[in-house]
Amino acid sequence: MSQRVVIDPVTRIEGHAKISVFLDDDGQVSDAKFHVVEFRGFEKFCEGRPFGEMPGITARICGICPISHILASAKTGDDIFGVQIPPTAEKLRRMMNLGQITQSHALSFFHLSSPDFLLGWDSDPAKRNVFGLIQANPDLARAGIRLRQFGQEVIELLGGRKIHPAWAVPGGVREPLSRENHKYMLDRLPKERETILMTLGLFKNMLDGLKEEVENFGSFRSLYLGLVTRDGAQWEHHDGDLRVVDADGNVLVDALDPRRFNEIIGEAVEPHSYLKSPYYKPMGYPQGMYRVGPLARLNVCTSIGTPLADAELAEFRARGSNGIVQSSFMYHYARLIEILAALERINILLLDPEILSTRVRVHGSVNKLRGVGVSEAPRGTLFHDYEVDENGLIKKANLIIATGNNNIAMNRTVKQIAQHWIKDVPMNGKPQIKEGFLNPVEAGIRCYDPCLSCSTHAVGQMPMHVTMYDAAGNVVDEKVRN
Amino acid sequence: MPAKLLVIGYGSTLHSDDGVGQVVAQIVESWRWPGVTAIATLQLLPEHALEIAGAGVVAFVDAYVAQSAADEIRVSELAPDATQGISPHYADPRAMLALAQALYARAPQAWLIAIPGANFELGENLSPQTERGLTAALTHLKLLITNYESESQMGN
Repeated sequence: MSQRVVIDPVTRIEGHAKISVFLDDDGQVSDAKFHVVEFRGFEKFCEGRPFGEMPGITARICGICPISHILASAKTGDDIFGVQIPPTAEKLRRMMNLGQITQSHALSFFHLSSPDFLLGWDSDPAKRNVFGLIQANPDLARAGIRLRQFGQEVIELLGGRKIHPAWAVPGGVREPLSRENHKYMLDRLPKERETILMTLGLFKNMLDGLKEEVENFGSFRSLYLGLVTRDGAQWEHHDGDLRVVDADGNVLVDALDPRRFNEIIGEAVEPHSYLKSPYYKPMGYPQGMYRVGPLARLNVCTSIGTPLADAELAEFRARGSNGIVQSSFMYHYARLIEILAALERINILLLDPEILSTRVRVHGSVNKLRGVGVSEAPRGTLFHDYEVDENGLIKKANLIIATGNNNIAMNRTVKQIAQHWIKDVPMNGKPQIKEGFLNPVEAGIRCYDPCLSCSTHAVGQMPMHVTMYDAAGNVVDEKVRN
Repeated sequence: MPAKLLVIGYGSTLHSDDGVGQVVAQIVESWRWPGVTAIATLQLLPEHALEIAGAGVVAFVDAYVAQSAADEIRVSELAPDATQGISPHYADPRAMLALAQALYARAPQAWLIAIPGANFELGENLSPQTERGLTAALTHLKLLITNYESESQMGN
């Protein structure tokens, strides 16, 4: 006799998903699955469209990370053109991506995740949200919201719109940076740097009290994949080469041109989920589990390359072994360090004499029938791979979404959390789902800040629906949390 | 100078009828009606709280899943409600009003205009039912704007 607990869908993450937990005859968790139950079908939708339209189309997949798609898609267009874009265009694209990382990470930390650990697991669930945070720590909440606004402003000042700016295009960008906007950003940076340093201090002070979460929210050995700079393998977010390291810090893949990504990444399909499961090919599936995103980027790089963020990176790594931090709970910590890195990098770019140049675009035509563009989205490495015909119409599009890269690891995390928080379920009588189990499972998934709108699609709100099944598939208990 | 009337139309323009809110906002913006501002967005975002707090009246425009072909637009007045919560890809307009109240100590009068949607699959066209709802929503918005102007002038 075994039972299955289903949480459907997960609140405060994007898209539609549910969680199943399988119990064995002794009432212990034998397995757990994170299901994505909506079909994306987006690649099919793009077929027949001109590749030059793809940045604008793919940007509309998601309201939170449109910039990631715009940039990866524009880079794919550069590859189809076979051109090198002007240096200033590349720097401006980088600046927009750094604004994107700042706003997305700030949303994840201040609006979604921090209420859990700043207000405490035992606090009223109805108040464990951004409103509770505003009440409990109004200065921090306002600072976090302002920090997100700054990231959005960087995007808007460069692209003209906060959401979906059709600014990055194959061959460069449409508009240069104005002197007025340049000055505005430079003036704002010190205040935002102060905010993130204050938040980092707060988070680090709390970490020792979060030992259970650090040890059980996805704390396991895996590979890590991300972009690093071509020169020195430093932290990278827009260009560079692919690097893979293992749980001991050994470099398995180094300096791989990201256009050759499919030599090392395979995509498995599981019957329980529409979300594909990418894996590291040389190790096979599912042993080739790897993680991407903030945690992975800090694990694969040699350094960040900016003084404040590098000092934080050294502290961060001291909490791991061999320079590798294994717990997915530390994604939160890594996000804060990446915000700091983003602000420092924006400052460097703004001080670059070339940044105000008006040479920001080259024009081209279809010179290659396949193009690949890879960029680091806030949630991890994003791959766009298009095949086009002689007229530049999309024949085939393949998008490996940041969240998808983490699919195997998210499943493993759910299992680890379930095994820690669900123990000795009485198998006689009527089994019940305890409220105390729902919070850590949701929070564990939130460590990855998954974007299921990108990896699938979402229309509407997501209440949480928990269902418990017996071995015969009968529902024995259900819980719904709106 | 009265505070502006703000129209926020939201939804995914890649999911057929789900994007009707954005279409409404774009049309309202094209009217260039003095004192009226429109935002077309994939979703409500925390930073919209600032614009909401600064408005005299807010009209949220969204799609809802029609249960029958006879369903029409639904107009309801909204009150701030912090229990609705805010997630990255979905924020209830009542939660947005509560956020405006919490952050900027002001939540204006607000309405939700919900337009029936029959098709939410990938696509960029509106169904006939949603097209009818779009026309009805625009008529309602013109009335709302006219009334708001009259009340503002009486208040001056």
